[in-house]
Amino acid sequence: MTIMSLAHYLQMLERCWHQQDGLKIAALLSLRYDQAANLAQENPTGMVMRFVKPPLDELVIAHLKCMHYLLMGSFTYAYKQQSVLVQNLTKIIQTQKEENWFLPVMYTTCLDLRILAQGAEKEQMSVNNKPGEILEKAAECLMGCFRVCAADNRSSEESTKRIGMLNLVNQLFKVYSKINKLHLCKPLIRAIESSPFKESFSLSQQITYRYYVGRKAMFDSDYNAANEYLTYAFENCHKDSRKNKRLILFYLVPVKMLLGYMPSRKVLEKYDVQQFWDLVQAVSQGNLKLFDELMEKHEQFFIKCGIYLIVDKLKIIAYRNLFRKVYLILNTHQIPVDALQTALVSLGQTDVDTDETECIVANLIYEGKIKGYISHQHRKVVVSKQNPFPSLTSLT
Amino acid sequence: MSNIVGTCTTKCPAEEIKMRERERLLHPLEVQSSVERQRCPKADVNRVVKCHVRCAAGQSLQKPTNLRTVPALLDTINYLLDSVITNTKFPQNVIYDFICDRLMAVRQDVVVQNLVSLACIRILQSVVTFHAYAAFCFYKEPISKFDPKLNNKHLQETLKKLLKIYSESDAAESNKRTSFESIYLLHNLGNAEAMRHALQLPKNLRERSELKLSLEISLSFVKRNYLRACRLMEKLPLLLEAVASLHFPRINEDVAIVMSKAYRNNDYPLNNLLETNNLALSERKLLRYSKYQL
Repeated sequence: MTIMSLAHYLQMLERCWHQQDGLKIAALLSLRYDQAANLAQENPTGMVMRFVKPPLDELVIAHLKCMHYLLMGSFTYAYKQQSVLVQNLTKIIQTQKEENWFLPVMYTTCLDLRILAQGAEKEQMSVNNKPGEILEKAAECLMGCFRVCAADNRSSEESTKRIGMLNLVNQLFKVYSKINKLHLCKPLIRAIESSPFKESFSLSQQITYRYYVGRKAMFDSDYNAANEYLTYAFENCHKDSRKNKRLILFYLVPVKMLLGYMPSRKVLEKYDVQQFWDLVQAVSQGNLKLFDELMEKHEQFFIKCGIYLIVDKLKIIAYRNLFRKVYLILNTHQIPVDALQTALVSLGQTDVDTDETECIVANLIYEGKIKGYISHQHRKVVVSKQNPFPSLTSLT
Repeated sequence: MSNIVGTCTTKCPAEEIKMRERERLLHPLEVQSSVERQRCPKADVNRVVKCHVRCAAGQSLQKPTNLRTVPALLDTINYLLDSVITNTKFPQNVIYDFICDRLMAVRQDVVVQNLVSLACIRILQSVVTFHAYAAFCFYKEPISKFDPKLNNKHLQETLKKLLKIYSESDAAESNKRTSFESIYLLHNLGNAEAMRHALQLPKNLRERSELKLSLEISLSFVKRNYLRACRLMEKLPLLLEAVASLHFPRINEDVAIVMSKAYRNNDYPLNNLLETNNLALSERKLLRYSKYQL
């Protein structure tokens, strides 16, 4: 492909502006545009002003500068230019009434802004004293766009900018989860859930959205909601997006397990998440010793994904499965607490006494995972004659 | 944005002393002892402490002469938590209210000047300790004398600020950091957010016994293994145990609900249960702590 001259590029932009071709402008202002590297300029102002009229000129100037700094290898400076670009863009979309053709430009530039902010954040890690500062600023910038879109409630359905909300919300999710401020997502979720366009957002955006909302629900210990959102994301995610499917499974697998659905080895292998296979075995066999070992071995991985707490909760399921085994071995409806305690101790829970064993059993009964009652006087667990260990999936 | 740097080197800015003398807004703890009974008592410059004012329109909190320097703030803290606290002439709740208000002003000075130094860590640690102990000591006071909700709010706010400063500064004073990270964990027992925060701390911090123990307590609590949680609490250092023990009423309630379902034939009377589970917030225990009162 021949190298495009700057003049040609600028003319193209100006033409697209008049044709209201948002997609084309978006492509031209993207950092991934194949000619972008050739067009970078440190001082493009004069040239741009000759070809491009306001208000688009400001965007183009910032973009060319941004490219320049990026080629120089500085994310920080590039990010600053991109941030100027998005702020100017916010002003442009604010003045555009009853039209939303410019939204694709917003999507692209906001995406680039987030990626540059992430790069800048890494670059500043050694110098900067406050981690997360740049990403927070970027989030403010994105919020600026979001407000304009959300406030556009007078336009007709075809031309409303509110349709752009979900894209921004997803960007914001990504930023907030990077800086550990997921609680800031709450008003955004509310805005989307109450939006009349809830169903008309594009499928890809819906999947991303449900992934984040599902993850958040998991963090908030709302496992049924998490299951619903993450399942939707997993089932609708394109089958070639293996990386994304794998990411979803990091959360979906423990959530499902807690709800009583154990994944098969085949599925885990298919998506390259075998880390969970040992865990599945430990939990379904009630092998507490293996469970503790796995918690220690994969601690860093679990913490990094944010699933440590939910995986830790799986221990309750492991208890249930172990006690069920004891029940099957003894083949009696009156299980001595001592027997359960012996089982616990033999699997590495050496500091557990009969009182604590009762406490664990009591909780399982309370949750409906065991049908029966404890006779403290006789130190026995009396289980129901019918289905004393109901299947976990029947509980919720 | 450059930070404002305070220039006041005393516990209370001169301007405020004058104003409060004129408006008769001095606290009995702040006046000269000889003139206490006069209509317009004079301030005792050694005892008067800057009081807390809300941000409001037309009021600038940013005047450097009204903001205390770091040494002055440390001085204030020491005065409040060494001298005032041991004052026995006034009822305890009056002392508490006084200190609480003045500590709020201290925090305000810290925030307005955006201090993040080591000294600031020391200041906030003292404030946290004060509120943590107060929460325990005044647990049984009626609401008219002590509001646990407000106290908890101060505690939580200060803790969060402190934790933020820890994470932004180098791991200096990390010895104490584990204690305060543990307080946060125990104060918010079973809270997922708090636990995630603790899990994300550097491993060398997490491996320290207090923090490890606190995390295990919180995890046991979430898994409803209350017995284990309570047993582990007894291994905590005193201040931490005090913070954790404030959850006993909540734990008791949960235990009662679980037990009522699990023990059907009434052979496990509730009192008995609470005792074996060591859950009763017994007078005995309270007494043991009250010896260490503030």
